[in-house]
Amino acid sequence: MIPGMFVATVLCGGAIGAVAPAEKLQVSASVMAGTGISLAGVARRTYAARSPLFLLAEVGFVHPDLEWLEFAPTIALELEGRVGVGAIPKLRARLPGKRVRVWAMVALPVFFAPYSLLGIQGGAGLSVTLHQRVALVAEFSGTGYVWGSDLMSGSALAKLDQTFGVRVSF
Amino acid sequence: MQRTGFFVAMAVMAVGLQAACRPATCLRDSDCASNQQCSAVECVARPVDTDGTSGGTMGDDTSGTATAEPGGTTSEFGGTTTDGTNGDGPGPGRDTATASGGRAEDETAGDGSEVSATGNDGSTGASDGGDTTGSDGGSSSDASTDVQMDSGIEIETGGSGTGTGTGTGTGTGTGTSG
Repeated sequence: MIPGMFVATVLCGGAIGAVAPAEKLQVSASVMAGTGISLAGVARRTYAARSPLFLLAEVGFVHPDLEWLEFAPTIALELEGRVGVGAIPKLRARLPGKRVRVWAMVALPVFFAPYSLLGIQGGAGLSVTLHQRVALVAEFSGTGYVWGSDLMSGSALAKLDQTFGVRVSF
Repeated sequence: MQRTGFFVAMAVMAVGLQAACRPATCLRDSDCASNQQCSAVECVARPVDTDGTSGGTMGDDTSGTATAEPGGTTSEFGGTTTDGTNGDGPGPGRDTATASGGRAEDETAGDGSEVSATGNDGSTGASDGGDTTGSDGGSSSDASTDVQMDSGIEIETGGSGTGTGTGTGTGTGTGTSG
């Protein structure tokens, strides 16, 4: 609901007075895969393990009057011994660029099946344009999960992940 | 150049952290098998439900059968119960023996109410289900009717649902034959 409201009110105009209703949003779709390391503290010791492989499929929306800002609702699948399904609404603040673009990102990852996880994510990424509509994407993120049925009792989970993929602009 | 340095630093930090921290078998429940959970970075078996109060909706009803043997004095519960009903009673008459997984106390399959059947011969009986232990899981819906025939066979029909559970226990039953 929140992503829908965001698109409807911000990107399409109305919530920010200075932003005119979008005549045509810039839309892109990305498919990415990633892994990293997971960290958890138990009894004042920090333990690490490789994060399970995950796949991301996202659609990015950019308002033509707010080129620096991208909203990207994402579907996440965690694999390797499980199939976890989650949703990750992302906001990216992008620096200007032509062939290479860099951004900072904040997100709210929520896994809901078959287990639950709720956290907050921040990171940075870049894209390298290969073609007018195709770009390679890399993103590095840190995530803290603070709530969910998948966590050990009384413990939080931190993840440092890198993600690589392809973006297609429409 | 600064951008490249940033990403290189991120990668180095990730590798360094992994090397610096202790390796763990698991950090999340989903790292373990479905019948295990992650506790103190080790996969351990999930606690067994011994009182039948958790693990899903009690499967206290499904289509199933309960047998009542004439003249019996002992109710037995055992084996795998998919219907939460499995009991031996004292023959024609009232048979309330039920094994619903965790506990069996004078409740029966169906909607959880007692099976109170009077034999065609007018006899009545009661069976004390005693206490059982076990585990139970599943869900079910009920629209069953209980029929206890004079032959001592009690049949439930109309129920539907699924459930699995195991229960063991002993009970005693008494009956009078009219």
